[in-house]
Amino acid sequence: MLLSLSWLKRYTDLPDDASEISAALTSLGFEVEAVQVRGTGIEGVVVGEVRACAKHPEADKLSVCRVFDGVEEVPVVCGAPNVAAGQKVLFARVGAVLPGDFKIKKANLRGQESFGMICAEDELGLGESHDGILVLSASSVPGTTLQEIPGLCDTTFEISVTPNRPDALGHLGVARELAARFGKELRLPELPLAESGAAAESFVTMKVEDAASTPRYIGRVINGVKVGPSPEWLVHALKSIGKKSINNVVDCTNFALMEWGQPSHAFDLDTLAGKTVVVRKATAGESLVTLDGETRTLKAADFVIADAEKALVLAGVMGGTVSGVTEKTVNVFLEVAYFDPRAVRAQARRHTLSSDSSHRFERGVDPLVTARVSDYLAALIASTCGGSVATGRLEFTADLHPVTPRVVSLRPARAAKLLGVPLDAARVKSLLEGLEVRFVEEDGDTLRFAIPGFRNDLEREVDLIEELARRLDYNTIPAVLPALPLKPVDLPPAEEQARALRGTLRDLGLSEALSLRFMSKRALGNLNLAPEDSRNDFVPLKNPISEEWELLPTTPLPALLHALERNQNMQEHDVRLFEIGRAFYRAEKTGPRSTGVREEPVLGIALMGEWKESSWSARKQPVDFTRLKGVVENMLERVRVDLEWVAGVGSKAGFLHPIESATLVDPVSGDVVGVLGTLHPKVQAAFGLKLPVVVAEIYPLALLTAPHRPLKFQAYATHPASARDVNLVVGEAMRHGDLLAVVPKNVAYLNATRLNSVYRGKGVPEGHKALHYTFTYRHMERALTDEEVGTSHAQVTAALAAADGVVIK
Amino acid sequence: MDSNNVNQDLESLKIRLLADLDTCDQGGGDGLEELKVRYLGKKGEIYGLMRGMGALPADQRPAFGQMVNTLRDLAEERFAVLESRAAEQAIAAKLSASTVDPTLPGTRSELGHLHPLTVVRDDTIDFFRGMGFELAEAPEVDHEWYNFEALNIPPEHPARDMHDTFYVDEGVVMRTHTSNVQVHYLLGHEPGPVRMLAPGCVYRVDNDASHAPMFQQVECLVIDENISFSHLKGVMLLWAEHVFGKGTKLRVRPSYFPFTEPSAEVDVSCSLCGGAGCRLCKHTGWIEVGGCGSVDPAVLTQVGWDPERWTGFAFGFGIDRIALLKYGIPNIGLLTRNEAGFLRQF
Ligand SMILES: [Zn+2]
Repeated sequence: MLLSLSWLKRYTDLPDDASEISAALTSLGFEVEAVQVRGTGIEGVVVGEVRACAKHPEADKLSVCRVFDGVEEVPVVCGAPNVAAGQKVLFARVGAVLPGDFKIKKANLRGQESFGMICAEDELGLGESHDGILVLSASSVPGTTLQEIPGLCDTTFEISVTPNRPDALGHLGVARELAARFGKELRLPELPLAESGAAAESFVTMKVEDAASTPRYIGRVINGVKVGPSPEWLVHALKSIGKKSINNVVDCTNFALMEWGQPSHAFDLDTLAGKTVVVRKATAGESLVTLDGETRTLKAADFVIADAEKALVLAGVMGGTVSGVTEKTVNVFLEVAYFDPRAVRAQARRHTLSSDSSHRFERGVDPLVTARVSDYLAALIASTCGGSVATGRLEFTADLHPVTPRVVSLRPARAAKLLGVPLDAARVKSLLEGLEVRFVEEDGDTLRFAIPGFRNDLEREVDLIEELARRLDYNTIPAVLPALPLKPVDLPPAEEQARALRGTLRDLGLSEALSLRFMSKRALGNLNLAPEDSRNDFVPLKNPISEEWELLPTTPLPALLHALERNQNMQEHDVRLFEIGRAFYRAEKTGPRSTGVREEPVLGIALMGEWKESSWSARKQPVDFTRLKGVVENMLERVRVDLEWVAGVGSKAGFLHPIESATLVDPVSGDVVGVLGTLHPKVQAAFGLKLPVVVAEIYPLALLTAPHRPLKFQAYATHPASARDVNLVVGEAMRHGDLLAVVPKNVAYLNATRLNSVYRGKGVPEGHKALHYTFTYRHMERALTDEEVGTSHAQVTAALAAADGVVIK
Repeated sequence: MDSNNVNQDLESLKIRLLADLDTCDQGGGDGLEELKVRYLGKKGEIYGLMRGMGALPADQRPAFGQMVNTLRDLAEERFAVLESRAAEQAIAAKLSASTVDPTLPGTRSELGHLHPLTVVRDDTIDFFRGMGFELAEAPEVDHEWYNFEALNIPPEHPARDMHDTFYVDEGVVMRTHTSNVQVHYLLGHEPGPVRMLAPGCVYRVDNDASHAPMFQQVECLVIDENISFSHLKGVMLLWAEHVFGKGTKLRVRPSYFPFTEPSAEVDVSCSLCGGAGCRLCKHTGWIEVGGCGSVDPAVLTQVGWDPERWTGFAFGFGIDRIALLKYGIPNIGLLTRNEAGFLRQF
């Protein structure tokens, strides 16, 4: 909502300092988003009279004018197409200063001397228009300074008005708030209404058929108006808040709109078929061309203002192109109504159309002021545009429409308790009085107040308590800590676990990512999933921002892979990301407020490039499956969970390499806790990744329910261990895990088995690999003898040697 | 054997020994080992004297033995001095021979990083947990009854214009605020004192330099029998001082949220300029950080709590916004681009 300071000053006395007003507006709950002071930084600009104007002899687009500035007549070269002799214009004399410290100097333009400049709006910071020079009214007096011209140099405040305060959508409402804040009187606009001639109903028939959406409808007839340009004060008033002047009648309705916050509509009475105004439901398929030039096909739910034949206005939202006031209009039917907020809102939404009118009707205009505005506006039109107001109003009032103020009770003690400030009845009454909330009666501890019509939002005691807080100024309410019992609070287990996972992965050198929780069908399609994969049970958005973000994610991996690609394109190749994201799956609806969506956290890990130390000397190794596996093992070690590792993922994760992958399984429940592996080359290519990538997807909830090893002290051996090395040559098909499985579980003193190296190449036959193991034997309480170690180790080597295809070197 | 001869031998040995030690010392300790073997070795000259003692008359032997021992002690003492000097020199030589360049960069591990929003989120949780707030959560995809109706925002209410809502189904929305947690929490508990904290992701159909379609909020809810608006200000001030530093001032402006009344927006004094006005605070001296208010009785009634008995306050703020302010991040979009250059800063 744009407010003009000079407009506000019509209704109350305000401080000169705009920043004081701005601060007051903000503290009253009308946040000031911008303050614009027009006409500052301008010196030496006055009203000039163009006494002569001729084409420049050397330049088609320039004119040479003689301008009288109140003191002297000087030659001025002007480039505006609309300059003409006889105009009153804004003239910057030589020596004038324009916004931006732009100084006007004597100039010579193609051989013609120019002593000053005729200004356009934007050059003076008075508006955005650069269509041509600003032409003032003929009555302007040459030599008058810019600052003295009424309405031109104004201060405007752009305020945001919350939906509960439609009263602040008019200058009067805001002036009322400021008057109360500054302790000044509010001057309501009054115009004497002179009715004459025949009764209004002799000129027009008015019917309201849809009382539910139109509980109050008032018509007035003004005959014999002279439609034409508006007087300067009206043009300036509208211009000051960025509204264009259309004609004097329409401008009057717009003025009342921005003054009272009450929309109205002026019809050309003589164009109304049957001289009839009907408020009715639309007939389905009926159409109407609204003022924005759109042809609107009406729906049966719509309600319209019509004449005897056709719909004219989409009620409460926008007028039509026929029946409006034009230069030819002589007799006017003036509508001032209270339309039902919900009905207007539904109507505006049905037509995805919003207007100054619908914005106010939706939020609720003053239901008690309709007649008053109707009288006021009729008088304004008659006094501005000529004509006479026919006697009486045409009125409709629905049975349930309020005609007296609502009464709301308030207990001062309750207010004091809720706000935490002392308040007694007298204080409460005086605070509310400033908002025209008038004390009616007292009943024990309860006070009753009459709520003015413009404050529809005040319905309950607590609403009045908020008004008290606003009148006090929220900032005067003390900040006090509540006295509450000390209470230790543990983190929920899931949160505790999330912290442990994040912390461990961070310690391992991974960086935490955060992705928008959206996904595209294309990205999902690029994951090479089996048709039955639950990641295909996605939840689409009905109103996505873009195709990239059309679904809710069923896995955090696409977002992480996109992030890797983005980094790759920035020459960041060694990137290690993890994220505890969220997956959303379609599910059965289980009740009336069930969403049909199941959501759970999912941990994603994605590593790319080389696992390098950030040192010049350190070794670099490309990330691979074993590196990822190590990360996951470390993470599980930290959270003290032992899981079963199953090689491969089957069809559970089509985005993984069929061999370089593993499934993590809860050994007790058998639930899958996660999958990990090298990204399938097809998926890698589909995501535009140049380097191999390894990824993991782990389900924290499943991890949480998996068996955790309790943290209990364990006795540990202090005597030295005995190590024995074994070198084996096996076929490629023989896996480390297979070899470990061969070693008997019950070998005495066998404490640890370590793989030292895997070697392929010289000395090892094609299709084979050499493995170097160290087996460690130790006793908890003493050193072992060579013989004891030898006996145990012999069992190990014998078992290995007995395995198919194992050669011990 | 003549005792004189023996004594002369001892005397000349002593003179030779001292001369050799001097020479060796002057030569920087060269040949010290050999010298020691020659004089003090098992087959050395000093033991040679001992062995020659047998030729002396028995009565002279003790005195002669005494003299040889004295000479041996002297020799051992002098050799020890030279040896320790030589050892010192050897260490000094070894140290000075090092080629390590101490100005080389250290061999570091590459550290990982937590996302800045996690840092702010965890800090917020710990701050409120320390004051007895318990963590709660609710679905991110929720039925609109929890997101709107139960929070006193009926269908077709203009307040819904304040929320550009993502819909996933008829009546099912991406929650537009963490206030839905209030509803789930209150429905799930018997009426009683509440101190609740709910951080989480929320969604709006919005995407520009200062708005992201997904962002994170924290919701705080306190309910008890005597909670007032001034308590809300007290707790918020404590939090503001925690986040923005001691001495931070609070400005509370009337606003409108259907689920709180009185409702307010909260500004804190600009931590960059201290309130004088700068670019960060758009020259107002204040920075908006969140919304708050006393719990609207309609909300309590909806969930079956008696609003005459129970009163409370709620406040919510954007974790993203706090992180942007705290770290001076210029654009909210940077938070979710996951670029290495960004992530490694935190
Ligand atoms: Zn600042």
